[in-house]
Amino acid sequence: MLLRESSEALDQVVDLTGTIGGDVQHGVASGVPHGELLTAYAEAAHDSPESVRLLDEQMLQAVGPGGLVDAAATVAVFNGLVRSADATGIPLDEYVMARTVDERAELGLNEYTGSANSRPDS
Amino acid sequence: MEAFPQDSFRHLVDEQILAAFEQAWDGLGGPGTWWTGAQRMAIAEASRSAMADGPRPIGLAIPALGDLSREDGPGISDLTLEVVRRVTSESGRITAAWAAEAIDLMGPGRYVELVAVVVLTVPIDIFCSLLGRSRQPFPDVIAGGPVGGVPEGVAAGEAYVPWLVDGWQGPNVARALSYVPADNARRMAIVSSMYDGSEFFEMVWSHRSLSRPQIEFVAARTSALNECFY
Repeated sequence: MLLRESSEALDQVVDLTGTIGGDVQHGVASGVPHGELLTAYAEAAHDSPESVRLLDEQMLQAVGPGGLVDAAATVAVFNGLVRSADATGIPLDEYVMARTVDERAELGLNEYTGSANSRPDS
Repeated sequence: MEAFPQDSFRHLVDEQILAAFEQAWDGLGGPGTWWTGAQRMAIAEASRSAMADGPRPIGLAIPALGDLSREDGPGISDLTLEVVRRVTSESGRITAAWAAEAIDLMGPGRYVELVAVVVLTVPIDIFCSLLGRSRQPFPDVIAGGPVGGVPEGVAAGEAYVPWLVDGWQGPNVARALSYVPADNARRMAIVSSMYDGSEFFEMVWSHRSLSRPQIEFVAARTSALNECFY
């Protein structure tokens, strides 16, 4: 929801499937500037933080040192947030539930174990 | 002495992030609400090991929580080690039944504080690793017993754990660990400094080098890779 709405605020059209794709090809048409590289960075960080070294130069050229630090911070902090959410079983906030019905179905998010905490059929 | 000085990173890191890291590290080794400082350090060490090991293969038999030793003593028990492992490296597989059993065996305070220690250390370790910095050694243990106490306004709700209920206005993730307010405050300082600052409800961000859509794109991909519904 935040990706879609923040993109709309900048008159950008995003393809949300890039967020659940298993390969960097999804990022190519994401509509997010440098989406391919950012997807590759997030995936490399998930596989092994050390493997992102291979992307450092590309990241620095594309988004600069500040962008590299932002990407690292985002990956890092969301690794904390997902663990907080999954371990405590918090439901998705009602306003997000109401505004993401189609996206959750389209992206297959309702299949995740944690969806049971949020009545995804609603 | 600072644990995370600016010059320990290759690139400029926002001072608010470094301050949040210092705050987290300062509180890590001291007595918590439900665990001693030594036990919190043992949880943090176990979490680092679990991160290094990664998730166990699907289908591999994992121990039943009820069969594990619950004697924490000066360190942590086999039960606690198993819960740390699941929360750290297999959180996407946590079910309501598993969490209910863990909370029943450990008590909600110890369970929530364990989660807090994990989520205070994992983001900092990952951030350092991603930027080519070695992980920060854990702080020294500060002696003393846990202070105990359940915060006012906390009760059972829709989450697995008790949380703030009366008049809550923010997103659920911000109150997820409200059973342990000191650690939750440190956690949210990390979240604020590394993510939204004070601009969560602004769709156009000016406080980051990346645009908000770029940050949300990385965030969404990271959440999906962890199979997190929230």
